Amino acid sequence: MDPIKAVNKENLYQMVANIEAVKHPVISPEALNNAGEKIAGWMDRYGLSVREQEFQIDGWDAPFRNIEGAVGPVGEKPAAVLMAHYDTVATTPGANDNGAGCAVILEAGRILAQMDDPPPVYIVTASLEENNNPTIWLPERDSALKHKVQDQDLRYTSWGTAKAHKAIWNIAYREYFSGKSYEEGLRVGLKELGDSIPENVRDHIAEIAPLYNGLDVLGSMGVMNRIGSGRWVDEAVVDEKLIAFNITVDEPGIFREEPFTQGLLGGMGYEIFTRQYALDVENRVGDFIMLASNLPSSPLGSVYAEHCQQEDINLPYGWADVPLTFEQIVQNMPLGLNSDHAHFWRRDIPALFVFDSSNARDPYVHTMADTVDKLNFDRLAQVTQALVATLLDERSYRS
Amino acid sequence: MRPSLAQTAEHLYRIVYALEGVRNPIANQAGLDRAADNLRDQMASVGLAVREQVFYLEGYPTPFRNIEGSLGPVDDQPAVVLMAHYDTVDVSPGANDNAAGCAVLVEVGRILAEMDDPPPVYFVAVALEESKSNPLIYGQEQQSALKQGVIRPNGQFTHWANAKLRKAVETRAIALYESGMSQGEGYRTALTELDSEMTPELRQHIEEIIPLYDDITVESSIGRRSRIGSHRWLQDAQTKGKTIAYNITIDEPGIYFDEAFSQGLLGKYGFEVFTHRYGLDEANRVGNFVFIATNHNSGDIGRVFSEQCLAPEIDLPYGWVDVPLTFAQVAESLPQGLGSDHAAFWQANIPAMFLFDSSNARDPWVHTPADTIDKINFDRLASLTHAVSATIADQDLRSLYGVGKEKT
Repeated sequence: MDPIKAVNKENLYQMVANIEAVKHPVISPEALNNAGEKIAGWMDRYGLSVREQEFQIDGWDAPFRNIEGAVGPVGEKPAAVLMAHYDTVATTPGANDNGAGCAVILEAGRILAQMDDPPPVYIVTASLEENNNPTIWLPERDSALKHKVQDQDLRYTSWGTAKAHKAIWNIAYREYFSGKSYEEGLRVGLKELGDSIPENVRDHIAEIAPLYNGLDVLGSMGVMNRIGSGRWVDEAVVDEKLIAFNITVDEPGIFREEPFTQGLLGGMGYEIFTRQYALDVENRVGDFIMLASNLPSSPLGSVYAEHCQQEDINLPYGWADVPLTFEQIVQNMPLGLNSDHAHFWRRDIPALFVFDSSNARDPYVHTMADTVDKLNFDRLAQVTQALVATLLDERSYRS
Repeated sequence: MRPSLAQTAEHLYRIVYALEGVRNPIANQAGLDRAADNLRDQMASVGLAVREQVFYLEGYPTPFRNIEGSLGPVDDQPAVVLMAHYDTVDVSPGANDNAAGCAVLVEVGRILAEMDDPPPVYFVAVALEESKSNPLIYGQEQQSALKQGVIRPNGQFTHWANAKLRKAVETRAIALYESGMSQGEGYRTALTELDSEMTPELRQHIEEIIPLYDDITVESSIGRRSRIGSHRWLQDAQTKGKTIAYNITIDEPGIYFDEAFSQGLLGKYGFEVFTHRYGLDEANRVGNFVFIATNHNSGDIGRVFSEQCLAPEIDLPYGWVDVPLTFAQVAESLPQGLGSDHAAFWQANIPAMFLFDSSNARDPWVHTPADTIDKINFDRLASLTHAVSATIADQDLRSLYGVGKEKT
């Protein structure tokens, strides 16, 4: 079997189509559970050994689950950890964010499980990556309803309310990215905008601000979001699991061929890429995969990038190889911690983040239009091929 | 009293909020009916006289309705027709496409109704503008796709190959249609060209739908495949001997961005397409402007509207394409320019101006479930509303097009 040729576009498509649904712990917990069960079923059918890691959140009754499939001599040799979250925000069926990421790592697992002597790999689909902590989300929603900021469908009740609410949150994000907690940021927002804020929005923000107490760049990790991955890494550390590296895949599926389809990522353009392959910079074509590595994972990024350029894969990429440690990223580039790879970076485990640049390209992310018809499965197959090649490359395990 | 821009923005928000939801005869006829009722009430509440034009598609039992509000002496004197469709495609709640246009229409009505001596104006909210709203064509197409196994009951394509190839067939067929072929012939040609890649079920499906589109051309599609309500309204008006001074059509007016690279290409055209412009940032391709389209006999409407955009309290950036072409020439060389309800007016050689935000050249959510109220910039939409009101009220323009003159 040629493991590169074995990547099956149709299988990727069917998995994404099958778990397309709002998968939210408060809005649709049954759909979240359903997706977990389907994924566990596929892992089993592909020949992975399946384990469910159940975890609780203080103040919430229902448990959550990470679904883990293992292949090869895990436990004996340092293993690769592939990670993709399967929960969604409340307003999206999440085909790209992140049904597609789940499909990519599951397909890689399916192929490895068919090999005679596969490398040691954990395939982990994690819950609660999004801002989905139900003990924050639910009281905030109830407050928004009570103060008539939003209706049952999460629609703003008026234009003035919409503008004021967004303006305060923009200030809170600004403050968060400069080191404050969201609670502090929201209070700064209230103060800065003063009397221009309608009373109902003011009351709502004052009521919810304490929910965000202590949630700064570090404090939010594993509490406000990126929860499932945090629990998995915590447990792996306690259990002294042998881990070589992580690859996190989150929103890997939107590719465009038209000019001017690539936007800016947190204000940054192509200059963010330290290495790139087959990009159309002049026309700003959004047809490439984006890679993000830090100081410990630079060699891993190099292996993945090299395989993208392999003749039988040929996947354009933009690679941001950030020569910073986790602490430096927290200080200088907190936006770079926005998915599940953050916990691995925090533990100094080499981790590579693979995505399509998210809202720098994908206008559907976190909307009801994040559906399977938007995804490019030819490109997703290439993303998977480069992943499989990286997993089969001994150099990946050396760091 | 004339509302402030802030008040108009809130009024517009309330109307879009009320209309948001799928309004489509195949996916949600009840939603389409509710929207018609709502618009009837909205128009009445701002002081317009309301009439419903009920029409049928031959061979389809359910009636459709255009909601017509009017102001001033419309029966005796040449009138302005302000038009916006209220139907949606099957999967979209249609906040920008085109609840926003309907909201502008109602709010222009509110402002003009406050005038002592308003010009005669029809405010017409029409059904069945969308290509995916004719149940006799698109309804049958959906049935065929289901029956052949190209799509699932939930609307997803059954396989990646079907998803990819169906889009390729559509792209090719529409390109051929725009170059003069019938749409059915376009599908037939696309099928031949893509033959080696085609799945059996997709081939069967395309063969089944070809007859539905066999006599659909750039010109004949107006009022048949799409833009049906507007076409019926104009036919009825002409039968009744109404005199129309000019038309302004508004369709997808609400998406504005301040970010760089937010303006895409319209068809193959970039900023060079604009014959007149104000406040554009071409170097950074910022999608922050309203798009104005006029043709050979409607340039004066564009001129007056664009002057209103410059008024300090409005200050609305615009890109204006003033194409000195007749309907036949537009159909021949710029068929994309006939994409909304102004087409019926251009076809009848009635002056018409089209206002929009450039649609999918900027708005990625159009025709998707994400076309929701949170995407719309109601400040810009309020400016647009005031500019349209001032245009219709403008004395020079009234004289030029004989608005409100006694019929001779």
